[in-house]
Amino acid sequence: MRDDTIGKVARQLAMSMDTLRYYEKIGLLPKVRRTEAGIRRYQDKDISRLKFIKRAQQMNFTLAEIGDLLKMREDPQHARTEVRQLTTNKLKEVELRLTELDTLRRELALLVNLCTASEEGCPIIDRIEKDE
Amino acid sequence: MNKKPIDIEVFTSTVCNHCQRASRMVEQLLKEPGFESITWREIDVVAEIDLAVTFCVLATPSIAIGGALVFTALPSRQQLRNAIQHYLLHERPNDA
Repeated sequence: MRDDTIGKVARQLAMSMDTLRYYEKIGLLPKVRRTEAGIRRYQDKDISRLKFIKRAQQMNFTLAEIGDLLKMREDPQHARTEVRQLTTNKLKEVELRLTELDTLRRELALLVNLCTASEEGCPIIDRIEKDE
Repeated sequence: MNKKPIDIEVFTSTVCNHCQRASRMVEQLLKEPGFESITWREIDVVAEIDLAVTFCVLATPSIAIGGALVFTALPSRQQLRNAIQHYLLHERPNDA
């Protein structure tokens, strides 16, 4: 079981220590356990929640939306109708993004394969030049 | 008027060694008896990358028959002939 300092968590999740303190201050993260000396110690559930926040931010969700999604995450059966609706809408956004990412992945894989096979020039460059 | 779908798509690029052979093989095979009605076209994957991605093309040459990727490398003449025959017998829409 984890019992990590704020510095270690910040490094591991590539977030600043100020951001971690801020999430706690605005309630996105419940009050983190402190040692007797008042030093924050992050547990597994805190890390899991922070990873969720980070993923949601990467999808450009607002902090307010993330707060609602976290409520759903904690207690999906008793979530309010608006929170359920928000979660459904966000699920659609994530699925759309996944489709777009999958298309991009296949496009890049094809271009990389062509580049690897090429002895003269690289089609990736050709394509970028065409698009410009 | 509905445009007839293309039966065979040959995905090529300027950087592959076997692409020309693949196109030539398709062109020659389609002159054989029974295959005359089959339509085909060559697709440069760099010029039409969106289409290539739709077909999940990852390398050239690749050959799609009836809208599905069947060969992801240069097939033998007999393999290609068999695939076309299978398509004609089992998969080609009747009104094509």
